[in-house]
Amino acid sequence: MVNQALSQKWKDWFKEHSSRFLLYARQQAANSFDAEDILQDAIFQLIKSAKFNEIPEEPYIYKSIKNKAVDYARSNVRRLRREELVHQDSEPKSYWFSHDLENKERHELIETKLKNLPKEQQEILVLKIWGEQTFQQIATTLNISQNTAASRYRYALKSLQKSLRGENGLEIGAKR
Amino acid sequence: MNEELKNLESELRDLIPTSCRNSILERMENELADPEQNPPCSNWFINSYKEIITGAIAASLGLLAGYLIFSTKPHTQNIASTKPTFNNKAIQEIPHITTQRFFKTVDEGIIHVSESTPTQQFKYHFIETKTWKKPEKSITLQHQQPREKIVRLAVQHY
Repeated sequence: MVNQALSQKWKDWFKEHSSRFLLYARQQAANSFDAEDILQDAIFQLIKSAKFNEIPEEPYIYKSIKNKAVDYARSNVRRLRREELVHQDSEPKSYWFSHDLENKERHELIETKLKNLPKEQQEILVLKIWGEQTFQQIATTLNISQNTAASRYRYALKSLQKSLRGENGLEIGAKR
Repeated sequence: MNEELKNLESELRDLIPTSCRNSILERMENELADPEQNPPCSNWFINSYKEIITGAIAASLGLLAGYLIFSTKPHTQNIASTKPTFNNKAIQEIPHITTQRFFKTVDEGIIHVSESTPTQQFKYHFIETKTWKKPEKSITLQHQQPREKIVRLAVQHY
């Protein structure tokens, strides 16, 4: 049972941090609707869990979201495949980030390139940059070593940089 | 990390993740206002040592009962699928949608059942999906189960 004070604590906490958890869920899910369901289920499960009278550590929350996404994908694998095909044509473009008018074009480009990175690299960038996790925390979330987390992060940044360079037509061949 | 990567990193930090829709926040508030009394299933058996023992005894009794029931049951030729029956009347009364998605037929060849005409056996594979919905709480429960149906057609003699 969640008491009144704890309930308020959860609400405030969720309002403050929901956007970055949602971003991680989006990175894990097939579409934005599934991401919201996954986030909701993961958080509700944490709230209901008798184990947590306190808000759990962030790596545990990211882990819960990831596990929920895996369960979700596993239980709906056929539906997801079918819906993905439909969504490609019908779903309005869902943004992971809010883009201000000034830098809209550049930010949209970065977002597109980020979404095109391999899932592992996307995940580590999302956790490190927007999840504000340390490599130690990322290592706990993803069950990898701290060194792997750090090197994967650098590799992801390099891939993104390379991809953005290619798009801008800058420095291609300049280094050759 | 070189300068360029640091710049890219700070550029990425400028991107602000989109916030949650209000409906999620509302659902969250509703959930917190009316939390369920029951602890989640995953916790009931780890709460105490006593309950683990009780659970183990219950499981053993269940297995024993299952063994006694099924070991005395005569073998039957009827291997076609049967629909699950719900003993609980309340569950039967909840409206649900059932869909069956056929995906494969397997020709299992000619079957000779003693003292009867040979038959050709086909196995139809399909997925049955039951969906229960409670729109007022936006809860959906979906249950998928693989099913198969065996059909035998008498083979004509020439």
